[in-house]
Amino acid sequence: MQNSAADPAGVVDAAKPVVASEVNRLIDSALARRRDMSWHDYLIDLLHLGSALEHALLVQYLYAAYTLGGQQVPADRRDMVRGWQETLLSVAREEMGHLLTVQNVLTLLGAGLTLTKERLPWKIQWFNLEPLTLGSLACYVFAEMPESEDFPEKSEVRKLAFAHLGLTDAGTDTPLRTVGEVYSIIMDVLRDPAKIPDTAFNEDSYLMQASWDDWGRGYKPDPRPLDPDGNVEKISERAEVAAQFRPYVMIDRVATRTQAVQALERLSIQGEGMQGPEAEGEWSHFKRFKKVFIELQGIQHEPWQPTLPVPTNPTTVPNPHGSNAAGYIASDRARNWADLFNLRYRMLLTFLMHTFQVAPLARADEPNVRAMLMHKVFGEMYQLKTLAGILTQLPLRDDVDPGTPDHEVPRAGPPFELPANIRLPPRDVDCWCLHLDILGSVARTYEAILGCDPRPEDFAYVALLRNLDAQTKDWVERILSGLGATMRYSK
Amino acid sequence: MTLRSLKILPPFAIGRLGSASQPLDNYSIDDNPDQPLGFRRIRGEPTLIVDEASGAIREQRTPEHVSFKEGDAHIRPVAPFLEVFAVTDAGDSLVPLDLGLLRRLDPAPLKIEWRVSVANRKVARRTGDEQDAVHADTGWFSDHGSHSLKGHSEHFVAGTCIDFGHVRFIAPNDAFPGIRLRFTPARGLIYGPAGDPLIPPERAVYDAAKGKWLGFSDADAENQTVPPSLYAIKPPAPSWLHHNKAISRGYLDDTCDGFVEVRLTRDGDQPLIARARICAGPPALVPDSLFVRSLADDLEQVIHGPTLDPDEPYAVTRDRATDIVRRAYETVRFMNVTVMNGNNIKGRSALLLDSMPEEEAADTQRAIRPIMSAQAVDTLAILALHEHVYAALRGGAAPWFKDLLRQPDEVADFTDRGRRKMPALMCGADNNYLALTHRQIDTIRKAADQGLFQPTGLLDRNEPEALRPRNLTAQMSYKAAGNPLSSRPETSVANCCPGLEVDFRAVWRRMFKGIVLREYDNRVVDHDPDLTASDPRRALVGQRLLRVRLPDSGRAVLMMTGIKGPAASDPDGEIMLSTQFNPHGQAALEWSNALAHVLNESQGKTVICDFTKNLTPQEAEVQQRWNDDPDSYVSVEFEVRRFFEDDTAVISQALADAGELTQGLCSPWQNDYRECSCYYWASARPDYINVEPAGTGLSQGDNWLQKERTGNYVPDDYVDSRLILYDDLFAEWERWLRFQIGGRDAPEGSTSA
Repeated sequence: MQNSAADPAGVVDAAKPVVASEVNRLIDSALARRRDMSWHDYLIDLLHLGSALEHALLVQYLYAAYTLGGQQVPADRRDMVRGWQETLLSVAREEMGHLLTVQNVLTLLGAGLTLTKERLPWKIQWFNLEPLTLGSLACYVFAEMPESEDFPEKSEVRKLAFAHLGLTDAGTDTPLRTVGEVYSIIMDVLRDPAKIPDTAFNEDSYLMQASWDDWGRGYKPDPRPLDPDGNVEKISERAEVAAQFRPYVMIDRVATRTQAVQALERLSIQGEGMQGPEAEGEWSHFKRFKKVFIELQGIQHEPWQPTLPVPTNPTTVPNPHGSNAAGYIASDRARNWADLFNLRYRMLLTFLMHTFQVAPLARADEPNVRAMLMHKVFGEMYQLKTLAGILTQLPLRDDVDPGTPDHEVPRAGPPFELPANIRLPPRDVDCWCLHLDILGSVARTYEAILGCDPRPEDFAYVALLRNLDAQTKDWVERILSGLGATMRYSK
Repeated sequence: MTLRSLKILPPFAIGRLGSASQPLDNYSIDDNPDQPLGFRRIRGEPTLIVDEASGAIREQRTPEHVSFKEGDAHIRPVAPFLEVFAVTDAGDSLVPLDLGLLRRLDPAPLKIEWRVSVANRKVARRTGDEQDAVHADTGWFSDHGSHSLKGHSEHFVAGTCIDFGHVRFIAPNDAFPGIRLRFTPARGLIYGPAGDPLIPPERAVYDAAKGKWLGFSDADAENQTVPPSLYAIKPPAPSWLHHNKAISRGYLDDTCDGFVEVRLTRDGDQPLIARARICAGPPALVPDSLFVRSLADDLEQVIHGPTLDPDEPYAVTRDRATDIVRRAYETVRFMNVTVMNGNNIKGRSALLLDSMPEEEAADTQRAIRPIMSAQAVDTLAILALHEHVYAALRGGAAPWFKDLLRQPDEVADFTDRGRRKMPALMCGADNNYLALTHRQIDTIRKAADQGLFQPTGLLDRNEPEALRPRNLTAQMSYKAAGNPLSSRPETSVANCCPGLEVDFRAVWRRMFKGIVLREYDNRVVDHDPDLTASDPRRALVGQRLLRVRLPDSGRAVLMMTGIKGPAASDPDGEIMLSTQFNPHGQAALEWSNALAHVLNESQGKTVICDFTKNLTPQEAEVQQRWNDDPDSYVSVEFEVRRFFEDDTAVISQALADAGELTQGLCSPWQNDYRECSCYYWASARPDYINVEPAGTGLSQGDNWLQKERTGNYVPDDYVDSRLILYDDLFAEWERWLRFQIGGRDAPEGSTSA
């Protein structure tokens, strides 16, 4: 989370120091129910916020994960750094689960999907895409920390987090609004039949919701061995330790008020952890981040960086006088790849939204187009991972002193930029046409990439992507043909 | 210059059956740069044309198009060459033995001779009667004529034999001076008893008065194969739909395996002898695709061990990992994933169709469950997902899915977690879910762990390995001139249950000197004949090998694993699955992975084996679980045999004699194409072909075994009249088993790529 230099919403102003209480006041005001809102309206609005938060967090963690590594990491530290990356990726995956669960609750309440980040009262800059540092990690620990948690590094974490956020009152006890508190407000509203009557919950929507079976990809704890009486047997210590770090992507389908509240409670617990005696099994996000924090703190005196020299908030949009001028990907070659990254990110989200849109028509007991769209989402995740790797290898700018050592050359990074509006059209035919539109834009980026000082390996990878896209295009065109739709595209 | 030793390369050559007059041209496969995710391109390679009259190679030409068939009904056989190499006193590399080298030798050699001995022991394996074994032996010859491999058996009608093909010592000349032999396999005919409508008189070789193969039933046989009843049976078939009644029709086929030997006689010196192995199997009907785990993978694990060299260049490791993923999607694209997943199909119960979930349900006596979510298993969607993984790896991403790979001891984990691990939906050599080799898994692990710390740009790759006496990998993968890809182990499936080209399980039975294990599990079925009366190893017959302890590392390796499944009332719980026939809920592990560490550490050395103790035959029938109580097992020291013969990559004869590598396969092999569903070897025995997206977006295509290609897949319930059935294959397999090129039926007529 970082200050925004010019923030029309007036959340923060980088020109003058701010204090946590002031930040909290502004956030509380943004979270308050407006007079013209019904309670249902308000709940949906908050859930949209929750969704935006999960989206922002997972992208932030992904970026931090992608910045780790490089040849400069000493051999005897590589297991540790790899463990940090796995922690960040695990937590990011779990945030994806949270995102889908929130979408399920929205579906239960008869509201639409949302994947935009407009609703954040913290402007997007508060969820910086930045390389992993002690300061940024302190923010992650702080954000997931249970309020009453006390641990030896707590004051150091608070100090570093506040400094990273540009807040001046680290020495006070003033809390800072966390993600968990937003969910507290949501659950308070959700629990109350006077605010949200039983008729607001559509249990028929259950089968339309995202399930762990489809989206979980195996990320859950190992089955617990049971004895013949059905009691849980003790597992080995090794299995216990492994369970602490294995990602558990929680995706709950919800048919009732109680299930919706329980699902959101589970999200919160996964972030902050159980209060009281430590629960068995998976560590909370807080605990995992704390472990990484301690380890990262331990190597601060060592003369190497665990991260690649990537920018904060890389962007394809030039704004030389803005606060993010340093993030601009000035190198044409890298920016072409960044454009491709953004487009495939958009493809991923469009496929995701489409799965919810076609859900009412899908039978769960046989293959269907909804599941095929779901597989497309995962396919695009894999390419985003690859493209992020490419971007972190490419120079951010072309005007680098040739004598600069390779590990010090500023690199680009995955921007995760989206057009402001990524809503789906209402008609299914138009959704399929939208996929083809985006594929068309993607095809143009390949031309740009291959026309701009390509590396030898770029040709091979672009050929693979073109092959994938051609298959997708053929598939969509067959569907459009099957729908009898010929207006914008015909086969 | 003098010779020190000889070798024949390749050390293992696969011939493939076919009735065409001309052998298949040499070909290879490579990526299509225009469609890098598409099917590999089949490319003609330099092909050696042998003059029938002289036995010499008269020319070499490279075909522009590769024709796999002559006309509609005649498949071109794969007739591999085997070349002789020499180690001389001039250096430590292997050099071709050719006319030039022979002229330089002092003393000059007197004679070069060959001998080929092969066998078909399929019937003997089932009846337990050695007189049912069919042997062919050319004796030593040095001329360049064609020498038939006539297979004789004590139980054949007098004067009859099976034609296993022929071999020829190719006459070297100045243009093609190498010393080489060519093995041309048989036509793929079926032999049997007289009076059978499908067996013409010239192939009625089996004398029912002498042997019991006609009418044989393995129901009460002491040493059944797994799967059981792998032979042509009297209708109705298959047996499992008819109370497991399997009465043999008495059929045999003309496949074989055995040895090729070359002997160079010198004046005043011991002759030099080298040998190699050959086998004959069905054609590679999907020549442009490779299976996810092949015989080459298993042999590589034998040679190099279960873990990678930590100093292997990252680029090499990543290429290997990418290749595994490539082969994975080349496999999955021929599977009707919806059927293989255990879905009900158009309302018809999944129990009626053959799949791993159905096998699992039958073995564990539990209700059938789909493996993945029933809606997420369209073939094209799953294929595209695999292609995305491949593209990502090729683009430089490190593998992220190492934890999703099934470990070799997890093959009987039937929880949802276990079943969904990769490779999914397929069967391994132990009849449980397929696992990659330890070495393949380690490849992906290493690529995953090291990817984060690699430099930018193109990575250095290895140069091809030099051909040296001790470089077994180079020897095993040697490409002899004129030999198509399908003659090599990378085109032979390894998840043998029982297999297609070889039943690789057979090779492990005699790994511990003194005893013979069953090829499919850990029961001791025999001891070596030369054991003395007081040898304690004799008493192990009938007992089960539970564990092997390796003195060097202290590692203890179990030979079985628990069968786990979901708790019925607790979806997040797991229980041991036991049945009346498997009260301890244990599954034997397939040998190739189970013994990988044993071979890596202890070939030629002594290990300690722990066996069950004093079990009655009835008790030993069931798989036993490990018990730490020392009173429950007996420990015996064993020498571990060497896998290969000294300084060669030839599988030791002590492990498998002629005929034993193929004895577990189906008799005739055509029966297996009818009975074994594609989840055994999808890219070799395809299921789903001509696949394309329908207007619904879902896949549509044909079943490879449906007679008419309609675009409407016919699920295989083994009895649907729209399907190719047993007698169709027995009578006209070359017509019915159509080559697949590019995932589609190759054009009839002269099938070309």
